[in-house]
Parts: sequence; C-alpha cells; structure tokens
Amino acid sequence: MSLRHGIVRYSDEFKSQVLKLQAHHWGPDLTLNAAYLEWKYEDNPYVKTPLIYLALWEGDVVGMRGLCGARWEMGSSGQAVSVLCASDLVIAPAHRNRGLLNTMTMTALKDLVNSEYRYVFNLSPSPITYLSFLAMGWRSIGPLETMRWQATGGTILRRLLRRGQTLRHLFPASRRLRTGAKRKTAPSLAGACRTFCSLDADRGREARAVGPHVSVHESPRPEAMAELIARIGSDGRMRHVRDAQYFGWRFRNPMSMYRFLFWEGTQLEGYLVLRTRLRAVRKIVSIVDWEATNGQVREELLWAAIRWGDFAQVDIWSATHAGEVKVLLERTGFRRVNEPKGVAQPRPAVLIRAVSDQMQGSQWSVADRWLLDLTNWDLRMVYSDGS
Amino acid sequence: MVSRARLSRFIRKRINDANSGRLRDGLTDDISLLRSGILDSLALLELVAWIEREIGVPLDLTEIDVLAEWDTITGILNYINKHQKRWL
Repeated sequence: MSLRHGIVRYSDEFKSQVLKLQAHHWGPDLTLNAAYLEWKYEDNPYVKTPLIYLALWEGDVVGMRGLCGARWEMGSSGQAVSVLCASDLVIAPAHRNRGLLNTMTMTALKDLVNSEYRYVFNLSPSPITYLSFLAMGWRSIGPLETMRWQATGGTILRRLLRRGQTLRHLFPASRRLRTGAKRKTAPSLAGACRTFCSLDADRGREARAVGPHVSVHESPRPEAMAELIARIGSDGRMRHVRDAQYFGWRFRNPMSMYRFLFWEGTQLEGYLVLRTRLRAVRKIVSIVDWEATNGQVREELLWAAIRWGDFAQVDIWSATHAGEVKVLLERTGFRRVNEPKGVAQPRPAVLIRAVSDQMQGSQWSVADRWLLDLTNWDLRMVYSDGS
Repeated sequence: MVSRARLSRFIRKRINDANSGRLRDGLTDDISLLRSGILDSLALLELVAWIEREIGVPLDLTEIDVLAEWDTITGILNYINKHQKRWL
C-alpha cells in the first residue's frame, strides 16, 4: 500500500463517493446503489452505525470494505452471538494490486478487536479474493454443495402446450428457449418480474395439482414465519436468528426479488422463499430459505415451486441439509453441481475468522461447538449477504 | 512431484523478483512468508497455481489452513508430502 492511502470509517460525507465507487461492483444505477447501502448498512438491525471501512487516496474514496451486522445462534439453548459478514469489497481499478484488500480488512479487524464481535464470516467470497482471505487467516468450514434443478427443453415445451398458450405466458418462456444463458438484454426489474411470471400466474390455477394449502405471495409474513421457526425449534446447529425483526428487514433487499410460498392449515406450517437477482443477466432462481413442520409440507412446497415456477434453473445449498431432504431434492430432479476446484475457481464455501489475532490457532467455538466443523452449521442462502 | 529444491527455487525467484533481490541471502525454509508479508496475495496466487501445475491436480482450498500450513517453505512441502497420495 502506498503511504498516501489512508483507511477511515465510513460517514455520511463519503456516501456519494461510495455509491459511485460501488458502480464497479453493484452496478451503474446510483439510485439503486443508494437504496442497497441504506438497507444493508444504515437500516441493518444488528449495528448502530454502518461498519464500513474506506481507503482514501488524496481525499478520494478508492476502496471499500463492508462489514454487515448479523446475529447468529447456536446450541440447544440458542446462545446468540453478534457477528459481522465481510461483504461489498470494491477497489477502484487504478488502485488494485497494492494490498488494499488486506490493509482495509486487517485495519477493520484491529479496530473491532475490543468490540462485541468475536467472529467475522464471509458467505460469498469471490474467486478473486478467496485466496487472499485464506492468507489473512480465514478458514473454510467446507464446501456449500449446490444442488441444481434444470428444466429440459421438453419440459418447457410440454408446459407451454399444457397451458392455455396465451401470448402473455408464451412470451417469456419462448424467449428463454430461444436465447437461454446467452441473453444479453439489460438486467432489470422487468426481467426479474418475468422470471416469476409463471409462478405468479399459476398460483391460483393449479393449486389443486400440488395441494390446496400452498399459496404464493410477494411479501413475507415476518410474524408468522418467526412464530413457525420458534415452534419448530432448533437442533442446536449454528444458524442466523430468524425472528420477526430479521424477516421484516431481510427481504427488503432492493437488489433481489423474492417470492414466498406458504403452506397453511389452521396456522402456518411451512414456507419456501425463492429469490432472483435484479441485476444478474441469467435469471437464476434460488431457494434461499425453506422450513416445514413435517415432510409432506416440505415436499408440497418444493413441488409447488418447481411446477408453478416454470423456471430454467433453481439452485439450493445442500451441504447441511438432512439426508431425507437431500433425497427429496434428488427425487424432485435436483442434482449436485460438479463444483470446480483449484485456485482459479475455488469451490464455493463459507469462510470465517476470529476478529482477534490472539484467537488464531485456538479452537473457534460458540456454545462449546466448533465453528470449523461443517456438521455444526445449518446453512441457507438467505444468510448470505449476496442473497 | 514437487521437490524441496524446485519449490525453494520457485519461491526464492518469485520473492526476489518482487523485492529486487534483497531477500536472496535471508530467505530460509522456515522464514514466515505470509505473516511477514514477504509473499503478497498475488505471489501466493502464482505459487498455488504453480503447485497445481506441478502436481497435476487442482487443490481444494476449502481443506487448507493457508496461514497455518503454508506460511513457510517447510510447511508447504509438509502439506504436499502429507497429501500427495491422494493426487497420484
């Protein structure tokens, strides 16, 4: 790092510069960037002020290291701990390869060493920065083992024929058939809406085919979802605290669009949350959260998502799912993605680090459970800041 | 397979290139490469890519405690020796 780079904590005076800098990472729409920054850092329920560290060069913001607040729980008693998630790293092109990633990250950790935070997670390390994180003492807890459902051409065609074939339905699906992953139209809100158009259109029509209890909604139900989580209870593995406050905040992410499938009897018995990214060129849909009181509810939710959605591709992290859930996924048509290996394209994984250097070399744990043991985790995409 | 001599030669060359030859005499097999900052992230990337070429398989980075196991030339060699049966 040059001696002329300085590292400072974020304050409002830097906001406009940060939004412009993040155009390299988040995208060119500064209004959307502002909404994302405000949602993720200013409205974050787990920090009092945004935890963002900036690299300055002659007064200009040339680097950003974000630390997003989170609250996780582990153990049979549900011991909750505040943690930070490293995210939104960006360095201006002219200042790359000067050690700023390392300097910003380690400055942030040193600054937080006496804070309430003992661990920092990274649930979305990029292939470019992955090795740098490991060299700074981060450890992988293991691969995420993505499973993927993919529509075949025949599946889509049969689906189209089975429908009324109105132009409104035909257009998005036929477009996907024609261009698939090579589509280069500008990613947009409209594109994300199209991704969910079949789900939205079919949700009433085919309810009987899956079950009368499943319905699709555009908004979460924070209180009911939190009550369900509390009713199901915890198996003691490490997971994010999912209370009404969390659900109320989490799905306001302006960079993503969600759909919520609810299974209801006399009360909410299960939910499944689908997400697509607004700015992704390929509108991949992911199951970011999925809970149910029993196997039948879980299965009906999954079938509804697949049958009603008419998606090209659906992804889910499977590494920490129970065996019967993996079997259900396979029965539904999900297959393990052959994840890459190697330094050029590391396997997607969760990285963690103790905030204090003094804890390097010791066993990292919460509620007497080792954090580096993947079997102690209940990982879902919704916990990733990238979702 | 990666020999101590080849690994040492590669690392010494890479480090000396980056440090104008200043470390030529002071670099031992047990000197810290990462904690000391001798090996920056770009050099580490090149080192891992070189090792992958040498052993002929991609490394699974999810299994490596880089800072603990790869901080010295001795550590890297120990790691390779420990896992080489899997790569054959």
